[in-house]
Amino acid sequence: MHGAVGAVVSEETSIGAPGRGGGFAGALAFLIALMISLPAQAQMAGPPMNTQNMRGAMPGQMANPMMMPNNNGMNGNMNGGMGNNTNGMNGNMGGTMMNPSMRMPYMQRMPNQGGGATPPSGQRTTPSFVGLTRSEASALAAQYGLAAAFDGSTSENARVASQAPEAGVLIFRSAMPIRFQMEAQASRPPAQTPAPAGAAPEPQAASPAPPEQAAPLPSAPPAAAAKPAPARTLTTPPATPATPPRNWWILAAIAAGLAGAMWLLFGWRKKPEPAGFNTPPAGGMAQLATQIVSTGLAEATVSLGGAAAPRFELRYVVEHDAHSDQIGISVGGGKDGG
Amino acid sequence: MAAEPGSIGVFFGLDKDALKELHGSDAMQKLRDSIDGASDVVRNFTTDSVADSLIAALNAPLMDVFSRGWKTLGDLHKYCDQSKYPAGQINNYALTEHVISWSHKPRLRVVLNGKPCGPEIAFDVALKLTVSAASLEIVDAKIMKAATGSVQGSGSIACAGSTLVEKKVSPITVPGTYAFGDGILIGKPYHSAAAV
Repeated sequence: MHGAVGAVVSEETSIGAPGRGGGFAGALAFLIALMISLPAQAQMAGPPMNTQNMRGAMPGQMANPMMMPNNNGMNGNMNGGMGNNTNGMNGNMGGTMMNPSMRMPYMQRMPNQGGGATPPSGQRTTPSFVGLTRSEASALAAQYGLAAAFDGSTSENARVASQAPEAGVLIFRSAMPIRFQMEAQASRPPAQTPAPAGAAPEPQAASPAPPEQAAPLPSAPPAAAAKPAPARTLTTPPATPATPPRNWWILAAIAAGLAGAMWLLFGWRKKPEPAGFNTPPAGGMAQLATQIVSTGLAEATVSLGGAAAPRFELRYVVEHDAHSDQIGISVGGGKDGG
Repeated sequence: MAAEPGSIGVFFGLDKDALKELHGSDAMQKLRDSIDGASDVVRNFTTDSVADSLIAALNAPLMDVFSRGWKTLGDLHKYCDQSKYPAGQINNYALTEHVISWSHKPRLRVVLNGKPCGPEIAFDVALKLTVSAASLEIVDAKIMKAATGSVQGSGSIACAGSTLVEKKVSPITVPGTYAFGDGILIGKPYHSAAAV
């Protein structure tokens, strides 16, 4: 009789229990992915206002917004600092820019206004002549002490399509030959930015400049100076505090993602419970049983009373071979035997 | 677990409703309080579980109570002397009105998730049966059959001092003869006539 008796109560509080492991793994993977993407997103947050301006001014070129802050004191014309300063920018902006509509053929002639170190004359490199007319190229070549030779179109409107050696090659001797491939063009590109009036190219300091060198290019419209380039160069670099809002948004998004993941992990299976309802043990199932420790029957106390009254007793013996052995009758219990 | 006919449980008319007092008893209250980490549903279910177990524990035939009482009758021990009451001899023994007093203490234990919780719950079951007449068939020092006249009595089930069930039975006639199967041994058979 000592057996487990009772019943089992089970409470299933989970939803989709068979898929629990997969869901957990997925949520965990999502968490890990969020963690991994956190630093990357923080880096990409970058200076928001800068990138906005950059995108407006130079689509396609300034892919890395981190390059943007102009902290060398130029604060106006980027061309000045990036022209021939090959030891600082190392030809990054020289010559033709990545965006064809933003070509700045005279960039290399801009003086180094950024205060960067002027390269020693013995270490000069060839500038970019691309886009220049024959006369302009000749003049510039003379400034650099190069011996210019022209191939291709002989038209007056022809412009330098390519040069050999290319821009950035060390000028190792005076009168170093340089060849230009000229191509005739229908009209001059409109976005020519003249060199600043007060900016004298470095080579001019060494030798007297030709008269046409100081003057703006004849075909360059004066208004071109206010065109696309100022859109980015005149923009004051945003103050550092402008950066946090975007970072905050990203952090808030990450926090929301984490909260969602936590909800996926722990909140999904939770059911709203009425007040005072205790959460069942882990596993969501409680087995309740009641065991009979002892029925008590074996240790029962029993007494018989009131049976002392006269009793009637009947005895008889089973017959064997059709002969009855004994039959005895007694009343009051006073007589035993037959 | 349904009580068998003629059982102690049936005598008390035990079912869930009869044991409703059990839920409010101090013992069950303590038991529920001792169950930690289980919901109210589970804790409240302990009453049902205990009630079921008590009914199971009282599923013993009432005739066992009678036979255990009759065994105590010293006069029956003479049937152990096989020199006077040889093997195979059928002896009828008639009893006039007598009273059988019975008490036992079934003990239950609640187990939650395989671990006992709370103290054991002990019940006091008491019976007092008045049998108007009884006829016993005794063979080989065993009570083989019994037939009784009318029976009346009372009984109670208590837990930790508080009475859960109290029952009074008006005189009822128990029809027929009740067989005890292999018989209820009165005592060890012997052959010494001098001992009687």
